[in-house]
Amino acid sequence: MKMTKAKLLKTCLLIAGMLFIVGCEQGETIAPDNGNNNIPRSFKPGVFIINEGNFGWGNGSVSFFDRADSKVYNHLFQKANDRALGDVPQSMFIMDSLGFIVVNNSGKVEVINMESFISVNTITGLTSPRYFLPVSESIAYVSDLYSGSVTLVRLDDFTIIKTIETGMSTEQMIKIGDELFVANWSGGNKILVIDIVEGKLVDTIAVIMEPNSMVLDKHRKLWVLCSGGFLNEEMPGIIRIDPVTREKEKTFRFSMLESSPSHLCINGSGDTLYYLNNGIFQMPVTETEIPSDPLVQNGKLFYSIGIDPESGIIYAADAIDYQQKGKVFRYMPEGALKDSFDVDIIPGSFVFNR
Amino acid sequence: MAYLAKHKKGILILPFLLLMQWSSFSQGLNDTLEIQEVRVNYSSVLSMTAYKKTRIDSSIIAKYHSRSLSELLAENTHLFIKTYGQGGLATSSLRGASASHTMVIWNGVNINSSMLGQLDFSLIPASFLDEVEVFYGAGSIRDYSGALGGSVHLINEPDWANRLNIELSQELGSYHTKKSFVSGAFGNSVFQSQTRLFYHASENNFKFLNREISQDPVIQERKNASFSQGGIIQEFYLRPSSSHFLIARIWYQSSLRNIPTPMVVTHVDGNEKQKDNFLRSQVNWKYYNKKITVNTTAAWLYDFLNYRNRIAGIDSDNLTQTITGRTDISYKLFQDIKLNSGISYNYNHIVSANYLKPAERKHISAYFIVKKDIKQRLNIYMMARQDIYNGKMIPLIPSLGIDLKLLRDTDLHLKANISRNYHKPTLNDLYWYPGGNSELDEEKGTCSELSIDYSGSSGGIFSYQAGVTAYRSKIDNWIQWQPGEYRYWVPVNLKEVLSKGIESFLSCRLSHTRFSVSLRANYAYTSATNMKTSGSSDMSVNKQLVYVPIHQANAHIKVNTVAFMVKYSYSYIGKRYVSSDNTQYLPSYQLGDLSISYTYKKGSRKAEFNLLIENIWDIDYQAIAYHPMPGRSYFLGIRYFFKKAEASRRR
Repeated sequence: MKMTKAKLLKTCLLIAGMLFIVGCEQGETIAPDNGNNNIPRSFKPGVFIINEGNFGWGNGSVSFFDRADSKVYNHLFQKANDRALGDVPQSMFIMDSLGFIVVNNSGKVEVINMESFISVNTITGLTSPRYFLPVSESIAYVSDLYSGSVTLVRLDDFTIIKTIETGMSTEQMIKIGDELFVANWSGGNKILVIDIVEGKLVDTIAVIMEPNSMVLDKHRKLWVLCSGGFLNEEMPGIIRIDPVTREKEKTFRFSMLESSPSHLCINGSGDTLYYLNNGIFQMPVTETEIPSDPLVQNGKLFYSIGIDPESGIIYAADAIDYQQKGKVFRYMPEGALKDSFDVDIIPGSFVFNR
Repeated sequence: MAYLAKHKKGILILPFLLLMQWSSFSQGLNDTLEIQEVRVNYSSVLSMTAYKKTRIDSSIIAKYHSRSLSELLAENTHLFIKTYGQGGLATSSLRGASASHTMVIWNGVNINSSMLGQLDFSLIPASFLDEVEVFYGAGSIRDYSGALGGSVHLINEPDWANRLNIELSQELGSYHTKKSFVSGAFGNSVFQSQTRLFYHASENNFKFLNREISQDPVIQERKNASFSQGGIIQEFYLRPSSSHFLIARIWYQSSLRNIPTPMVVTHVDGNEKQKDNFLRSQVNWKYYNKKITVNTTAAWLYDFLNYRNRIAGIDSDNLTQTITGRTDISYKLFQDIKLNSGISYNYNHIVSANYLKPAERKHISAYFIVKKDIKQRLNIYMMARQDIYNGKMIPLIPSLGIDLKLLRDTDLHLKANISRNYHKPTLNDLYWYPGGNSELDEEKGTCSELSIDYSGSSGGIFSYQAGVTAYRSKIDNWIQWQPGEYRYWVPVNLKEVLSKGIESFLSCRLSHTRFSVSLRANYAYTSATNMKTSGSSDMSVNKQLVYVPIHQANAHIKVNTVAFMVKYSYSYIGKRYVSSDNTQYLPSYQLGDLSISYTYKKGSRKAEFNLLIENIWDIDYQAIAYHPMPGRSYFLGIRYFFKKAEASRRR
């Protein structure tokens, strides 16, 4: 059948219109590079996206967003190593030429070469590892959801040195001076203080139920975001702690018991906090009250966020139905949508590589 | 008796005959398994010939005596069974619907878990069943509402000709698998008692090739996959007069299994375990005469489930109790009009570590069916069912079906039906803490199907049946759990699923006095897609649902002589998507099983030696992502039968 000119024009207009609508809604969409053995020539500068996958399904993966040419590379680990990464990769830490991917439900940390993404070693013998943090040239700490301890790992041969009993779950970790501040998230309400030199637990700071994320600001104050508990036991809150005195300087309370704020992040200059509480919220560290309106609220339930330390661009992940490729939306620091790209199933965290 | 009367007149409608033929296959060669003269199960009340049904009779079940209902259904029906392998959780998907959309009815009593809505088919030994019927789509409305996919009917029947029957069976197999079965039945034409016991245990520590943990594939042993199951079922049947039946059945079972991890997870010994104990009991009284049948059942079900995860510190007890009562009446109003009506009451009570407080549900359901027979060529069924949950009515469930015999002298039938059905959220959907959503709407299904069935025989030595069904089924308000606003998972009426498909079957049999050859095959094409978008980024629209194969087939060829039996079973499972945007999938696989048996018979005693080779081509496959399945496995068994039956059939 031949299309008349009018019809053709109409169709073109319709398509253009549709594109326009889609365009308006989502910003520019960056196509992922799905080539079979595609691994970027360099991982600098860029953003790693850790896709958790479904619990027990073994479909976790790592994606990379090349900032220079706005290209997305998915399934990096599978491509480089010809095997699955594991069940629920939780976090990643980059230390010079090595990357450490903590694979929570596989009870392991994959040590990868940051040039090739090839696994050079696998740290095993962990129960339910969550975060990996080197505290010196030779030692790293691994927090754990269920083991009731943190594990010390040697960085030369990647063997376990010892565990420090905490008796409770451990989550995010921040090194401040010679001390390590560890959040006691699942079922807990404390910040643990570990002396790195002695390698032992020296203090605990009581906060609010379930501190799920922490950051250090430019004034070297520790900010802790607490969800108030899985079963809404307590009003959620943000607490500012002076790590030197270990005093709680200020507590910001949310106003809804049911809300479950998470993913406290800070920008590169250390003066503005971001977190998720349904929408994306922004809060200068000088703020005296908790913000009431979100910076970004578009009906999406974001699963995670990250802030690019250089540009301040907000990376927000939408896991959609948790069974398909998630999407990452990029917002300017002031909240305007920049663009978006597809990653993989349940994008759970961002790691920025300079 | 209604059934016999029909039979004598030779107007028994085709599908029934069709299915009856399964039974006739066994005659002569399998003398323990005869067609019952008087059927006591619910199905005989009104056979729903306008609705697609697969019947698996005792002669087929006998070949699965040491296996579970999961394998029996997977290899003989159009059901897709999603299984973690021997002893592991096995749930069903019928026409793309979810596991909770398959209702499992044990002699008229629904035994789905009221918490999860589904039933684990691995927990039902095939040896405890005498017959299984599967209704696809709406035929189940006769028995229960909510079967948006279909229903599986587990049937126990007495053998009134039996005087004494003893069976002992022992099987040993790969991976330290032991399977024992004992049964004893005795009685006369008035009373029958049957007792069956089974015990299955396996280390299930098969070797598999793990390609996912290191650069080079490693041969590993499956760990933490062991299981043990044991149970007893006792049935009493009493026929005090020619118009009364009294039945009592009690079934107790206990099972313990370790839950293995996916192959990408480092195994921790004995970390995850599940214990399932249940007691199912029922009493049934049936009265019948030429015009009327009244069937009344009362049942009490007790279900205990303990799930333990040492590392995660979970030790959760879940106790469900169900009381069911139902009465069904069928009445022959005129020669050509049959009425069938019934009412049931169902009470669930749940005490769970995962609920804030004990939960309960009261469910009343009533139905009415009119069946009109026009010139013995056309059968019309009109059904309506009304459900009331905790005092609240849900919309009426209607159904209309026709069965038309196209040619006077040929068993060629055209069948069609259309229905609406509702499935209430499960109690977990409503009360799980946290997340349970008491605001959920019921899932709404509409379904229509069209079938052509044909059967025939030539010269009494060759018989065949074939059928094709096309269906269209839509489920609105499909419930799915996903993380909500407050970060824990919440069930929501999220999806709208459209299933379209074709199912076909073929069976034929050549029988001779000294041998018989039979072939059976099933094929299902299932297009089950999500129609509703959850936002502009959602790429799952118009995509196949996860873990629903588009193509699925099974076939069996069996050669019998007086002493030997050789059977080869083939199954094909097409690729299954594992992400809702269909970007990831598990590849298809084909499996073959070979079984050989030799029977030695002397008087009333019989011994049977069986060899079963599963996965004979040693295929490396995954039914569920990253869960390995065993390669070639061997099972060697011996069965002993002693049987004393009444010499000639009474009626």
